[in-house]
Amino acid sequence: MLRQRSFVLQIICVMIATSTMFFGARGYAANLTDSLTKGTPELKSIGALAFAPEGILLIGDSKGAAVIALATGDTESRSPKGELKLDAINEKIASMLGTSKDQILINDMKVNPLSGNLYLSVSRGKGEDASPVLCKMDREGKLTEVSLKEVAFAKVMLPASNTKVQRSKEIESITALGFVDNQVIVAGLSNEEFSSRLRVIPFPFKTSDKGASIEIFHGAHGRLETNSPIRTFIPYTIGGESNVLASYTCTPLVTFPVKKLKEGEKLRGTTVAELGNGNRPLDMITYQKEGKQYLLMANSSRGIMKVDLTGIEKIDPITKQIRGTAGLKYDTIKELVGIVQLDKLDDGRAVVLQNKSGTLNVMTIPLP
Amino acid sequence: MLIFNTALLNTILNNRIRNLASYFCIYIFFWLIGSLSAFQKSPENNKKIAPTKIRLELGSFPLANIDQSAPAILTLSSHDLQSLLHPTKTVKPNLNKGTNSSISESNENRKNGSETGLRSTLIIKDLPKSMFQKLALAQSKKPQNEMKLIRLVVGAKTEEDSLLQPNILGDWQIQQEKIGFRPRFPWQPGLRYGLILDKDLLSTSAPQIIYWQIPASASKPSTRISSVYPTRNKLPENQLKFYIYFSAPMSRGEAYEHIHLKNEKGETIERAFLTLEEELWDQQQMRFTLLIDPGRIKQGLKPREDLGPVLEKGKRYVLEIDHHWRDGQGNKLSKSFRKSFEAIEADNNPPEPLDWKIIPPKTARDKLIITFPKPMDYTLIQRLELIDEQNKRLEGEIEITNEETAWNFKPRFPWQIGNYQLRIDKAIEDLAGNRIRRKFEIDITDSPLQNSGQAKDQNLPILLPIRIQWVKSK
Repeated sequence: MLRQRSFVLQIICVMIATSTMFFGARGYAANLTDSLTKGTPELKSIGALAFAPEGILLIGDSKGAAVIALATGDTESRSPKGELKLDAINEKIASMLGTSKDQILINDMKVNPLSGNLYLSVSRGKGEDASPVLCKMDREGKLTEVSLKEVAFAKVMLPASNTKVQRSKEIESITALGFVDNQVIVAGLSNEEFSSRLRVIPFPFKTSDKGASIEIFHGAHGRLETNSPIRTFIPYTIGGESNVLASYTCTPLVTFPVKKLKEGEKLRGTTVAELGNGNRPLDMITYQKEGKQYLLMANSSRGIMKVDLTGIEKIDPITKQIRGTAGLKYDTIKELVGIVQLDKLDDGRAVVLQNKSGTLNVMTIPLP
Repeated sequence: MLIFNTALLNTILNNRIRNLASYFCIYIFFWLIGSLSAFQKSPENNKKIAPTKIRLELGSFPLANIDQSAPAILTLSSHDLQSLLHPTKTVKPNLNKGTNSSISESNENRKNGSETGLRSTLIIKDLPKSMFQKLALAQSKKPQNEMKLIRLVVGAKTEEDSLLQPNILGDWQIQQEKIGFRPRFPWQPGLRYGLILDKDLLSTSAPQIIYWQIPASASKPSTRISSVYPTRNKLPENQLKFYIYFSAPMSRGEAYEHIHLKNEKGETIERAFLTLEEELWDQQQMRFTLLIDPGRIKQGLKPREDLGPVLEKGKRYVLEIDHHWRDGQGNKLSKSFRKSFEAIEADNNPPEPLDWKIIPPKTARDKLIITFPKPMDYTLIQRLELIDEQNKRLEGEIEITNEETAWNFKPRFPWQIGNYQLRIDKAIEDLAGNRIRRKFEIDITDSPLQNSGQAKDQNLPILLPIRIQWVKSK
């Protein structure tokens, strides 16, 4: 009898614990989505994309000087083992949009880590009146337009610059977005000033909080430094601390800790690799394989580069002029050329967009 | 308006035996398919196609059936083709205008010309009743953006590929024996569209495709490069930026293919520019910002070590912009552009506002002029502002002259005697990217990085006092 009672008690305890975990987790998880409100975000353009938790998609609108957080509601994976594969995706998207492939631009491509579906930011048209379109591709290769009508979203406007003068001609191109420690990091590039435009905006967005603007300097070999724009970046943990692994427009790869990204902070990235001429990174992902950390990088002119991140936390910043490869060691995977977009699909695979003579193919590749 | 001859049943429907129509419909349909297949094999028989028609209408556009090898059931007779290309009468659909649910041309279209007309609803009418009923039945439970039995696609190279194309986004409506398709995006003149009739609709073994298009009107290239800054023909070897101004909006995505930097021998200097997928345009896409690769300007970086600097003192260069660059309408530029210049010594001196010369106005309607000892960045120098004693920004016209060495300000209202201030944004740069009182490349042995938390204050604008008073009043 006593045993039976203790057994029942055990079951009750397990049930309570499970439900607490479930609802607790749900309560936490629902926080970010709950902060979004229903409406129709008006995009002037669509560029950089990044996923935040809960299937929330961050969208960079350079012309509108805004970042939009959109609840995709796409949070379940239907076929986790399936590949993302579609040949001539640019032709198919063009057809869907009632136009030809030379009249669209695929600006960015990101995998929703919860569902494994692929999201693409597309401009329909190339003139100043181009229409921004958000597309989704599933594991069966089915393409759909993600409607922005009556969706849960939040928007934050980026201040064009420090002063109040209206500058109709200044645009800050949002070149990369990221989500780390409940903050949205925005890398921007001005069409007027040559300077770092890195912003850190707390999420959920608050109208009063436009985020901190941080000056990131690039120190070349210990002596000279410039207030250089960051081209692309990814959040990365070094020694248990959130960091940003970033690439300047002038190619060096640097790291800096996220906790230092505060208003008024003047920050110099630690150069961990100099990739040299023609290696301008387009997209980067990090992954673990056989106990080692790697960085995979699609770049503008060579094959995909695989960088061994072992010892990144201990690396001495490159302070001397070095000929040849400097800092972290890397291999170039020559078979993977023409990669214009790259994102991680899961622990063992990546998704790439490969340009073959103007035809763009989506492929799934094993992480090398 | 486009009229397609089809071999179907309207004549029968006009007779009194409507109750038998559906039976006849199926029978005659199969019969006609058979006959028309035979017609297709012998082109001279094309004229004998039965008089029943499906009409496609798209606003006031003359649509063209562009595929002569289209299935016989939908091939145009030469008579119809003539009426199509030179329409003598327009068949107006019976429209319930003014309601959201009716199939009608958009208000935009009726108000304006062809530009908005490209958003017109495509109307398919005169469909045989049996087909229409099939469609209506299949559609009854479908949302607006899906249509069974009829699809609209962009035509591919082969018929097989066309059938695999995704549907064009848009909304379908069925009403009063008409089917309407309102595209999500404008129709594109010159693009081949395919209307696919499902085999279940036609009761055939294979679907049929009607290819059609809005003929593209030839337009002349008229967009040109209106100016390129800096305008001077002697530029420092660490020159950072060029601004290219166009007379009309341009298209994105191909900029770097058309810009070339050539040396004295006419050889192209490879990797001279920073190529950015985003392309740095202004809102109207009429100004393009071109950056010389900073990796080849900054000291000690690998690109510079490997390839050397882009510009070298004492050498001559030509910035060439070819006319193949397409404008927002898809037309090439009316002509190419060349800017010849000589590289001079690098400029590593940050601009110092105290070195600027202020020439106050002599009369209440005169200009205030500020001259600089060297050319400044054309765009950024326009950020100079004058503020009055109430700390308000003065409205007026700014003009940059004398090879970007003079800032001219003509106020909207006459000058008032008093104290003003020149507000100088520290982001203002010279040609080499040196900012106000800060070099492009800072030697950190001169200014160590110890100013954590103060960077914001350091970016506050500089204020220079200016006194306006009239000399002649003395």
